[in-house]
Amino acid sequence: MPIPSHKITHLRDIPKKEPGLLLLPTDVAVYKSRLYIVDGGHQRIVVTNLKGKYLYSFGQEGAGDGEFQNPVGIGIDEKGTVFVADTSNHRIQIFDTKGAFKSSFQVISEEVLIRPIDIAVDPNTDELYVTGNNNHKLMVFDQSGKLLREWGRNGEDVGEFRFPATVVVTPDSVVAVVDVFNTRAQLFTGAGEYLIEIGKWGVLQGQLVRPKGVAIDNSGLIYISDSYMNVIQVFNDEGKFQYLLKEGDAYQFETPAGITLDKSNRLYVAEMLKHKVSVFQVEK
Amino acid sequence: MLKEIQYNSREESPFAILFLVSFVCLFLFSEISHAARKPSGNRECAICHISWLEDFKRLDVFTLTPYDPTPVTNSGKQDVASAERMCFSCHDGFVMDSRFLWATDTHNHPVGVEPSEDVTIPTVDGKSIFPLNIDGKVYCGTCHSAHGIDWNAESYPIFLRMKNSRSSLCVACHLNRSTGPKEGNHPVGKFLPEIPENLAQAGSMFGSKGETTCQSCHRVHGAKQKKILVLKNNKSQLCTSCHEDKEAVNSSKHNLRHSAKKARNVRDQTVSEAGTCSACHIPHKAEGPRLWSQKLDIKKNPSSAFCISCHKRNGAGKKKIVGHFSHPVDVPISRVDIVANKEEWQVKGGASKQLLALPLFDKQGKQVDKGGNVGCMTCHDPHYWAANHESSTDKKSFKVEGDGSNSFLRIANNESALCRNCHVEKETVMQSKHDMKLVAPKSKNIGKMTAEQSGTCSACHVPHNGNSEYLWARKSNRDDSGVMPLCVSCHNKDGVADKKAIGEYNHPLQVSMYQLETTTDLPLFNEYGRREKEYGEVDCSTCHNVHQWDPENTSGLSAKNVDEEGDASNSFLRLSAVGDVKLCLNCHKDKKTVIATDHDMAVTAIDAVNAEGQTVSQSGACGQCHSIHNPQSPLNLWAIAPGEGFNPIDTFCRSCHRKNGAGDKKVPEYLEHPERIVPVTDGRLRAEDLIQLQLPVHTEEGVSENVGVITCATCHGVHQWDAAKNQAGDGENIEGDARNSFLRHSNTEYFLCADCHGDESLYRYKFFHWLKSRAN
Repeated sequence: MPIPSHKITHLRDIPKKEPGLLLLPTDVAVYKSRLYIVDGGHQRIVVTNLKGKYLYSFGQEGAGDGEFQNPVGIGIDEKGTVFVADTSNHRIQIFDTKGAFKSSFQVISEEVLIRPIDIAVDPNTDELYVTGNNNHKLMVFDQSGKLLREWGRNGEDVGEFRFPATVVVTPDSVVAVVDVFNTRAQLFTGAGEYLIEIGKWGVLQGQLVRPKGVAIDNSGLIYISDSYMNVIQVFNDEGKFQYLLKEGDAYQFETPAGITLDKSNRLYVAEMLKHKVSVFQVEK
Repeated sequence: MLKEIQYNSREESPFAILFLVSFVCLFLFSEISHAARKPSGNRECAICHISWLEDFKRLDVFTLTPYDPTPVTNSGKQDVASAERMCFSCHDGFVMDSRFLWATDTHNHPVGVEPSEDVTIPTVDGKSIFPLNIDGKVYCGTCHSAHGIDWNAESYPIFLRMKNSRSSLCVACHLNRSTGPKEGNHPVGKFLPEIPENLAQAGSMFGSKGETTCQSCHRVHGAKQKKILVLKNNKSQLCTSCHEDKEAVNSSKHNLRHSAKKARNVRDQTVSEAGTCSACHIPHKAEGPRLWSQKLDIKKNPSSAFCISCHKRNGAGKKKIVGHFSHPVDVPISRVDIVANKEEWQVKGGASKQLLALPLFDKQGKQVDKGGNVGCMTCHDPHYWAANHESSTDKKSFKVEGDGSNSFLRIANNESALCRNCHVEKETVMQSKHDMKLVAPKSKNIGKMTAEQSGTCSACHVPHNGNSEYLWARKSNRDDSGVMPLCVSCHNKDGVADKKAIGEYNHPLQVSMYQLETTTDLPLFNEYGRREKEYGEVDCSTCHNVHQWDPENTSGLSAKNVDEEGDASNSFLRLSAVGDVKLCLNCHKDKKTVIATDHDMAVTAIDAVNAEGQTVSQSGACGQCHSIHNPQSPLNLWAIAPGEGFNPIDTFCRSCHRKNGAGDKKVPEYLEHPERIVPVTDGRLRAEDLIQLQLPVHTEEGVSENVGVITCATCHGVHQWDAAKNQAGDGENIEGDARNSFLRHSNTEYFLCADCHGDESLYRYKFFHWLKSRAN
C-alpha cells in the first residue's frame, strides 16, 4: 500500500547568489516578511525577504558580542526579537530585527555550561525554551537569562531525551521538542507536563531515523524532518502519521534540518548539504 | 563553579554512546525488531546499521529510505552504516558538531578516491589495517571505526583504527612522506621552543612535548586550506609560523612573485599556487637536502647547487647568473688564513681583527661547525634582501637593482666589510689611492655600480660575472695575457687612472726568471694572471701589491692624503725602491753594486732630479736613471732627458755628465771614441782567457751587439765602481782613477784600453784624449 502523501509545490531556493550564499544552514525562522537563516558554516545569520532576496546578515566567527561559534538554532518572538543558539559559545544571543546585538546570556544548568541547540519563545509568556545538547534537557529561561525550570535527562523514557534538537512553541504554549536518538518528538505543556510523543524508530511511514526539524501549522499539524531519510512527515496533534510531503513524485529532500511555516503555509526547509533553504507551498 | 562538560563519562558522552552501541552490537544483533522503545541492542546497533531492520525485507510495506544490501563485514566493504550520509546525520551539529567536515570552504583528507601510488596501506596477515570501500576507495571507515578502540592515548584515542601517537597513523600509509630531510621530507618530531599561537588557533596539533607532527601542518578534517593545510600558505604563512626568521623572504626578490612569477618548481607549482617558500623548498618529495624544490646537481656543485638550480641559463634566476668568472666556491676558508669555528673566526696567527663567523660547508654542501669550504651562502642569506634585515613592501623596491647594502648579502658591503671579513690582508686598500670612493667616486664598474654603492673592492672585483680573471670588474682586453690588462683597464689615457696611465714604454713584462737563470722572491705570473713560482713571468703585480700603498705600512688605511704624489717608497710597490732598493735588486741582483757609489745620487747629487722631478730620496737609486713607466727613452728605460752624443748610450751618460748636470764634475771634454770605428767583439776572435773581458759595443740604436760602435758603456760598467770589487760603494764621493771609476776592467793583463789597442794604447790615448793633439 503506497505511503499517503500530500502535495507541495517548490517555490524557490534561497539563496540565489552572493552575498547570501549559505554553508550548511541548520535552522530557519520567519518574522513578518523576513526570513532568518542560521548560516552556521559562515558563523552568521542571513536575512532575506520571503522571496529570497538577500537583505543583510549579521555575525561572524568569534566569541564577542554578536559573534558566533557554530550556531545551530534560531527563534523569534512576536516583537521581532531574534534569539540565536550560539552553540559552541554556550550562550543565547539576542538581537533586534535588524540584527543589532542586544544582549546574551550563558546557558548554564547545574553549574555546567550547556551547548544550546535551539530556542523557541512562548508567545504567551515570553519564556525561552532551550534544548541542551550535553545535558539532554529542555530548559526554560526568562528573557534575562534566568533559568526558570528544566526537565529531562539522558534516557529513553517519557520526558527523557537523547540529544534534544529543535523546539517549537505553539500559540497555546504547547512545546514540541525533537528527540534525535529517541527518534521522536515529544510534546509538553509549558510547565513541562508530558503530552504525547510523535514518531517511532524505523524506516516506515510515521517512523523516524534522524528527526531534526519540527514545525506546527495553524491547524495543529506537526511537521517533522528526517535528515537521514530525507523526508518530511506530517502528524496530527495526536501523533498519528498523516502523510508525507511530496512534490510530484519526489518526496525526498537533501538532509533537511530546521523547518518552519509562515502564515501563508509556505514551508521553509534548511537543506544542509545542499547549502540552501528550499521554499515550498503546502497545498491546502 | 562553572565548567564545560568534558566527555570523560561514557554515560554522557556521544562517543561513549557510540562505544556502547558498538559493544552491544557485537553481542546482540541477532534479534532484529523495530519500533522498540526500551533499550534494545538491536536498535542501538541499527542507529547506524539500519539495513539490519527486518522491515526492509517485508513486501507489504514501503520504506522511506532504500535498502542498501551491501553487507557489513570486516573485509573493508562499506555499508550505509559507515557512509558519509550516516555520519552526517549525527555530526551535523544537532548531536555532534563536525560541520566543518562538510563545509565547502574546508578541506578534508580525501575520501572517495583510490589510494595513490605514494600510499602504502599496511597489512597484517595479508589483511589491510585500513580497509577501503567496496570500490577500493578511501572512505571514512578507512581510518575510523565507530566500534571505537580506546587507545588510552592523550588525544583522539577512540574511533581511529590505529593509535595516532606522533603521527603514527598518518605515517602508516604515508610512509614515503615521513622519511625526513635526507629523503626530501619535512621532519616530524622536532621540538619547538614554543608552539606558535596562530597554529594553535588554527588547529595545529603537536606532540605532548611540543614536537611537530603531521598534524602540525595538516588538519585531517576541516582544514581551511588546500592540501588540508591548517593555514593558508600562498605567502608561506604556514611555513613562517615556525620558520619566522625566514618570513622576510616575502619582501625580497626571492619572492618570485616579484621576479619570476611564472617560474615553477619540481612539482610544477608557481609561488602563487604554493607559496613563496615553494620556489626553493617543498615539504615532501623534495630534491635532496634542504627540502629543495628545484633539480639539483649536488655532486657537481656541492655548496652552490641550490643557488645554481635557479641562477642558471634558462633558470628562474637567469638574470642573475654568476658567469664564468665568479667567486670560487667549495674552496677551504683556510686558503685565506682564517681559522673558522661556528661561533668565531680568527685570522691565522692570532691577529686581533674581529671577524664575523659565516656559514661554511663540507664537500657535500652541508654546513659545518669547524673549518669548511666557502659556498654561496657564506656570503648570501637568501632569506634577507637587506643586510640589515630591514624589509620593504614597496613593490618598486623589487625592481631596483641591488647593491652592496642588500643583494641578500649577510654583511653590508658598501664598505667592503663582507669582502674584508675573509680577505683580511686586502684591507689596506681602503682609503688608499686604489680606493675608488676617494679617487674616482663617480666611476662605475661593469655592473654599473660606483664604489659607494657596492664597496671599495667592487671597483676592481665583482663576485659574479667578472670580465676576466680576478673577478675583474672593469673592461679589459682579454686578448692580452697576464695581470697587465687588468691594470691597464684603468691606467690608460682614457681610463679612470689616466693621470697614471701606462705609456708605450715600460719595464718589460712576461720576462721569465727561469729563462734568465735567476730567481726572485717577488711573485711571478702565468698567462692567466695567476701566480706561478718557477715558470712564471714578470707582470705588473710582480712589483706592485695593488692592495697596499706603502709596503712598510701593513696596518691598513694607508694613504692619508690621496692627492699626495707617491714615490718609490710606496706607490703600491711590494718592496721599497728607495734606500737599499729592495724591490729592483730582488731581480736585478747584479746591479746591487751601484748602491752607495758615485752613481748613487744619494752620494753625489742628492738634489738632482729625474725627468719626473724626483730626487733620489723619492725615486731610489735606480729611479734616478731608470723610469719603470713612461721613461724618456725606451732604451734602458732612461729616466732623464738625454744629453748630446752620437749614440744613445752616450746621450744617456751625458744626460748627467754635462754642464749643470748632476755629473757635471765629471764631464770628459773629449770623450767620444771615434764613431767611425766599428769593432767586432766576437769572442771567438779573442784569446780564450780574455773572452770574459769582452767589452760591449753598440749599434746606432744603442743596443749591445757583437758589431757596433764604441760608446761610454763600452768602457764603463755604470753599476760597479771598481771592477775588481763586486760590491756596493762605501757611500763616499771619492775621486777615482784608472783602476775604478766604473771602468769595466781594472786588472787585465794591461789595462782597459789595452784590451783593444794593446801596445798602442798609450800612444792612442795621448793622441785622442789630448786637446792639442786630437785629430778632428
